[in-house]
Amino acid sequence: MVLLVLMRLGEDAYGVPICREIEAQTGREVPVGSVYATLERLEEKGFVSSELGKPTAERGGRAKKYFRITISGVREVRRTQRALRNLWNGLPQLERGMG
Amino acid sequence: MKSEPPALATWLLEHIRFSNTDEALAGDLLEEFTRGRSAAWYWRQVLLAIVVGFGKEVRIHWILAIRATMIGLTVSTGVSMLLLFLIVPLHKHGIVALDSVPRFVPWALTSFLSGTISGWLVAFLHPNNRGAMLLTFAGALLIWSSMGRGVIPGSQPLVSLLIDYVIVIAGVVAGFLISRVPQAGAPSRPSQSPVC
Repeated sequence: MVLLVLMRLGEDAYGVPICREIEAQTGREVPVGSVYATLERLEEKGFVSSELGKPTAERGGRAKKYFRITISGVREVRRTQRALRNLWNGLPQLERGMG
Repeated sequence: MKSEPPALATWLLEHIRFSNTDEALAGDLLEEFTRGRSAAWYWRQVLLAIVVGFGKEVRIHWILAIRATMIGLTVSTGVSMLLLFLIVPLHKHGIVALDSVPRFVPWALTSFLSGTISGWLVAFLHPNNRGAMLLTFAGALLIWSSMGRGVIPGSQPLVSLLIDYVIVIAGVVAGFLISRVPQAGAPSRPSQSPVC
């Protein structure tokens, strides 16, 4: 989900818009700390890269950390999409609208 | 422009650092707060960030967490025993007059000093994982306090336990603060790189 949000946000993907986008899409509040923990894990796996922006007064002189999906991250999204599609297909409960 | 966010929550976020993204996270929370989020939201986010960061840190550095707990508990118990062994003979020989002070004072002082010294040592030995190691040790110390300590003279067991918790944690926090006092010629902030 976080990788998809990064793809949607493009250049402006830092903590606040990422959390807002997840909230807008899921309707649930997400802890900012959890989002950062996920992003760090994705960065360790090479799916995401990050770079620090300039500190701003609005943020108490703290810099934004911008995240961007990498090529291997996009590949991972495609792989997950295929896997989910395969799992989705062949479920009679969902096909008949019972889910 | 909204008022300032809760000062204690900000202090906790700035001092209990777990990773190099914590500064960006603190900036995000401040940005959201100034855009209209409530103080309760801010507190919730800070506490969740600490819990998430702490869990991650302990999962990665679990050997260090065990070491910090063992060292902290050993030193805390040792210091408590040493102080009591010192205080009792001094009182018996009339060097220290304990009759004039409330009965719980020597007991509270011992708890506080043992928490301070052990907290300082744990923080000093784990400069790159200070927050997580101290939280691990503080948790273990509270469990240890519930099991191993006596009751404060003249008080109910539950009240005694709660007071003990407060004094022990105050001691550990004092040790943590002492460990953060920058040494002459040393950098003011330790490196954030993991050591284990």
